[in-house]
Amino acid sequence: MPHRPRCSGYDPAPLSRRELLAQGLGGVALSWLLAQEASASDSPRRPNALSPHFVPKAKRVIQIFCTGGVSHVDTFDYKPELDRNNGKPLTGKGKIDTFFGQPGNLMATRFPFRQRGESGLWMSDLLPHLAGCADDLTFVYSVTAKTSNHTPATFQMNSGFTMNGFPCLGAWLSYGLGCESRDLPAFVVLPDPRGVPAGGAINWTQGFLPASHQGVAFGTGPDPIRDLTTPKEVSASARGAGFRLLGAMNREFQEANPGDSTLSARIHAYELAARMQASVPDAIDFQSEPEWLRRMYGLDSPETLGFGRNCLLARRLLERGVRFVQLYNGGAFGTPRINWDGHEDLVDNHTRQAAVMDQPVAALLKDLKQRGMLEDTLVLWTTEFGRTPITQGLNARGRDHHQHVFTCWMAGAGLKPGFGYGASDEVGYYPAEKPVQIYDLHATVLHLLGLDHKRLTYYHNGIQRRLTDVHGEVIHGILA
Amino acid sequence: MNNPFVLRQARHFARRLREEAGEGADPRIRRAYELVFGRPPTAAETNRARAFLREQSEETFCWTLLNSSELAYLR
Repeated sequence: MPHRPRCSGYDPAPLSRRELLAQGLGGVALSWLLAQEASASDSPRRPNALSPHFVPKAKRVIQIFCTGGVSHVDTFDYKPELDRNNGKPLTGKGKIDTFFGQPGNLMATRFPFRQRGESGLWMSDLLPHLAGCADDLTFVYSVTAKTSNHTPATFQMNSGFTMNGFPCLGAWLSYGLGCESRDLPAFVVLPDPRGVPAGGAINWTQGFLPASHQGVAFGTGPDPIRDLTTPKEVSASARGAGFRLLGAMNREFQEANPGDSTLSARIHAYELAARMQASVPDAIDFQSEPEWLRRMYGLDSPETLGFGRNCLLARRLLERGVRFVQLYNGGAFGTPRINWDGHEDLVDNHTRQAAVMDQPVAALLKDLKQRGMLEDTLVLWTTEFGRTPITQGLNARGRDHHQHVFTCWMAGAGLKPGFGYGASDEVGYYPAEKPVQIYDLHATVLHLLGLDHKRLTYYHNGIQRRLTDVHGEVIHGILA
Repeated sequence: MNNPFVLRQARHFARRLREEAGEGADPRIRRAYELVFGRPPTAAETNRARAFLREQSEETFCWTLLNSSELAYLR
C-alpha cells in the first residue's frame, strides 16, 4: 500500500487518491520507459523513502551470512582455557544446554590461534586469508541468540524475530533509505549456489512493509534471473505495446482496489524488470575485471568459484547503487553438509566450509578497500549461532549448536578497525563482558546508515513496528 | 512474463478465442474477459482492446491479460 513514512505517534491516515496517484507515477514511468524516451528523469527511485535521521557513516551494506552455525572457538574467539581443559567435563555453568541434549566433554580447537597484524587480534589458522585482514575487522565476541534452532535463528538474525514473516534488515533499509539505482532493486540476495538458507525466501521477506521492499534473489551462473530477457520470438514493438496496455490495466485495477501494496509492487516489478533487462547483463559481465582480481576472488578454482562469483557480483551491485546485498555462504539441511553445521566432525566440516568462504570474503574486503569503498560501505559477517565448546556426545568429534555466546564481525564505515568488543567466558560458553543481543547489532547497523532504530517505524496491526521491536542499544563501543 | 509456459498459454488462448467466439474483434474481446476475469468488458475496455488489436496480434493481447493484476489477485 502506498503510505507515508511515520516517525512517531499514532497516525493511521487513510490512503488518499492523491497519494495513490503519486505512487501510480511508477506506471507512467513504465510507458515512458518502453517508449524509449530515455533521458527525462535521473532521480533515484525512492518514492517513499525517509530522510536519514542523522548524517550516515555508511551508504550501503553487504552482509555475509554463514549458515549452519560457525564455531566461534575455532575461528575468532581464542580460548586457551578450553585447550588446557581438553577432554574434561564442563562444570560451573548450571545445567548444560545443548540443542540435541547430548553434552560431551570440553574439546580444544584443532586450529592454532595466532595474533594477527598490528592490532594483534587473535584468529585461528582455519581462515588464513581473513586473518590477513584482521586490522580491518571489528569483532563482537559476546553475541547471544534467542534460539539454537537453525530456522528461527536464521529468521532472528535477519528480522530480529524468531517467528517467520517479519521484515528483514534489507527490507527495512529499502523502506528507510530507498534505492540509489533506478535500474536495480534496493535489496538483492545472492543465495549460495549449493542451496538456500533454512526457511528459504522468508529470510528476505518485506513482511508487513510495502511489497516493493522485498529482497530480490539472484540465481547463480550465467543467467542469474530466470526469464528476465524477452524471448527472441517476441518483437520489440509487440512487447512495448503489450506492456503499455498491461500497465494501464494494472493501474486501473490498483485504483479500484486501494490498500493492497502488492498491486503497486506488481506494477513496480514489471517496470523494474524492464530496466533490469539492461542493468543485470552489465552487472554480471565480469570481462572488464582483470584476471588477477578474478583469481583473488577464487574464480579459478572449482571450490571457490560459485561463492567467489557471488562476492564479486556483490561488489559490482554495490557499485551500481544497490543498498543492501546479502550473500549467503552455505545452504540449509542435508547430507553431506552444505553449511557450517559441524555436528559429526567439526574439523572436517569447518575445514571444508572455510575453504569456500575464506578466500572470497578476504578478497571482497581487500577489493572494497583498494577502491576506497570500505570508507562508506558496511560489511557485516554473521552466522546463526556459535557451536558448543563441548563435543556433541562423549568421545565425539562434533560440536552442537550454541546460542548463548558467539562471534560476529563487521568492517568498514564508521567502525573502529582492528578492534574487539565484549568477551565470552573462559571456555566460550556464556558472555562474560558486554553481552550483545541481535537487536543491538541491528540498531548499530541502522545507526551507521543514519537511522535511529527507535524512529524507523511502520504502523501495522495497531503497533508502530520496529526492526528492534522494543529492544536494542547501539553498540557505541565499536564506533569510530 | 517471459517464461515459455506463459507465451505458450497466450498462443493457445488466442486460438481458443478464435474457435469459440468466431469472427470479429468484439466477440473475441468479450469472450476473453469472461474467461480470464469472469466478467464482461466495459465499453471503454472494449474500445481500448479493439484499438490494440488493430495494431497487435491476439496472442499479444492474450499475453497482457494473463499477466494482469486482475487475474493474479482475487478481489
